[in-house]
Amino acid sequence: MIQVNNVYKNYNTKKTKIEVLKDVNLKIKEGEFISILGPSGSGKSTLLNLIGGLDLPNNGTVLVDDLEITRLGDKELANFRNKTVGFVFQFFNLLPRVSALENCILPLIYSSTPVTDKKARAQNVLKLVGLEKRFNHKPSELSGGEQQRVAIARAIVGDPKIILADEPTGNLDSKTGEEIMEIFLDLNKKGKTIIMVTHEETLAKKTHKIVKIKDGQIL
Amino acid sequence: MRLFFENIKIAGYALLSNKIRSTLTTLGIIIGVLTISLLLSIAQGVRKGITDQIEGLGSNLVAVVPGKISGSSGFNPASSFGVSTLTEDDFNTIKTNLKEIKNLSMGMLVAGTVKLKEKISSSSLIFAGTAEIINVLNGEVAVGRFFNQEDLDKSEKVVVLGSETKEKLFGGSEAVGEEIELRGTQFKVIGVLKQKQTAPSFLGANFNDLVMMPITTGWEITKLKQIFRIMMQANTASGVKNVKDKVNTLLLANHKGEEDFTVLTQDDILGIAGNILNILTAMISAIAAISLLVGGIGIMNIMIISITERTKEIGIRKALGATKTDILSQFLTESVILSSIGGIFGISISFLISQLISNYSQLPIYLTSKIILLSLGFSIVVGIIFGIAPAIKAANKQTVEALRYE
Repeated sequence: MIQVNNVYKNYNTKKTKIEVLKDVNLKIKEGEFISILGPSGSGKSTLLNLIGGLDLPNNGTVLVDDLEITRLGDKELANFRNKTVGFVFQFFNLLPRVSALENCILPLIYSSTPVTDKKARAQNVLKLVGLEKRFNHKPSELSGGEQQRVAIARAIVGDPKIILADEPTGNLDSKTGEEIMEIFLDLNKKGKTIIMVTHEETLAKKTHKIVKIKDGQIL
Repeated sequence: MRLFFENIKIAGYALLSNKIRSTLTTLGIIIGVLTISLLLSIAQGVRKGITDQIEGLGSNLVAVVPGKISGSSGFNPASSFGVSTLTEDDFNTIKTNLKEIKNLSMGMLVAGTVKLKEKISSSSLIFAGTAEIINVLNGEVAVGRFFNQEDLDKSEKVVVLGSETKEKLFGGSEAVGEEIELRGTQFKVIGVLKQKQTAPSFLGANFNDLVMMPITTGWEITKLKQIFRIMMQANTASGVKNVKDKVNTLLLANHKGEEDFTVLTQDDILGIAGNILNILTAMISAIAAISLLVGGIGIMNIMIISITERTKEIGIRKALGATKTDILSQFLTESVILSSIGGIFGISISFLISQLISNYSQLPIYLTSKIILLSLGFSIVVGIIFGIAPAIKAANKQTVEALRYE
């Protein structure tokens, strides 16, 4: 389902060229829950961003469902991010000024096909992550765990096939982290393909497959 | 434009969460729009006043003035304010040769002050003319009579007063039959003119503040045979052009081919006044545009700040599926809303001020719907022009870097 072929990614600063990913190859099947494990600076987040179409590689291709996303234009790529993938970030990345419900609606307003029941759909996914009593709370009025639940709800509101999670528990205490992990496992059981970036082996062990990455290369 | 209402909502959130900043930015536009619309309204008021005055003169008017006034070579004041080039012979030539006109008359101005015992009316324009001048100027006698050919033949010392002049000198009491003093001579008041609502100003003075006497009397008391105006009315509106051309030909022969006079129609006068006003309006607009420019720079500044502050938001929106166009339209909507709110407030305030001015002062002001639309249009255009660059900057932000921004 997901194919990463010979991908290179460099970041150029004024003086030096940093090779973040070097000839990375990866295949992920539909319905898999894999974790990308590695120390910080190993390039694991960059790999996730490339799969999600947030960033483009300097070389190599990324195919999702036979669609070569590395060749897409701005509009098609935006549509891919909107429809096919859902992102969950370490620092939640919620809009601070609007309610949990409105944060959840956000992907639906950018949908290329008009969504009629935006509010109902957002309410449904918020209930799914256990936030039926927090619809109108702003992120600042929610705990870290609750904020991450909103972010997960936002990631799945558009019903994407793939969920990309970048250290989703990295900013939470271990108990809350486990609860969030449970949600992911549950979503995986419901058919979502999940790729999770983490540096905690205990969490990674709960997934189907662990991909270890170090210095920009898969081990 | 799929996100039109969504963008308005987002802009609302953003602007309301920075109330003071938004208000101050809007203030720049308010002041700009206020300046533009008020100045244009005043220019429009002046234009309307002048047009009303010129049209308030008799219809189908053709006037001969000394000196050459032409659009291209400009205007030499000496020819109009110096000793006149028009003669009684010109008047008689027109009288004998032109049949398609009526109310042929001539006139001159007399310098002087009108006195009644200790009361003085210094602002009154003293005008000496022939009997038909009353018809040319669309005037009517309220009390008494206007002077006639007999008065002209005998150079009678008689005057007809404008309504305001009569009021100043006599107040409520009867004027006709009384005597006033002018340049050391006693004049008998034989009539008072009716007040004119849209009083056409005559050579810069108020028609209602006027003293009129036979031209022959004027020549006698000034010891100067001057003619500043020869005026007539064409019998038909379509004949105006023809009369103008004929008068021009006749006088050119009289003046041995030297064109030291100008034949003007009302359209010509309107045209000259219009040209001057257009230049004036353009200058005013340019000055006012500067204030709008400053307002625009304010918007640009605040949009750049806002976009930097919201870099993370831009990243989030792009990660969730917003295209570059979506981001661009979001921030453009925000800047246009800022500037339009400024425009709406500016116009509202300008409307109130124009009402106050027209109710409590003599300053002509005329806020037309065209000015309102123009000012609103200007404010929207300012929002677009000064919002587009920051919006493009926002749209082009790299998603990953924007997400990392703290």
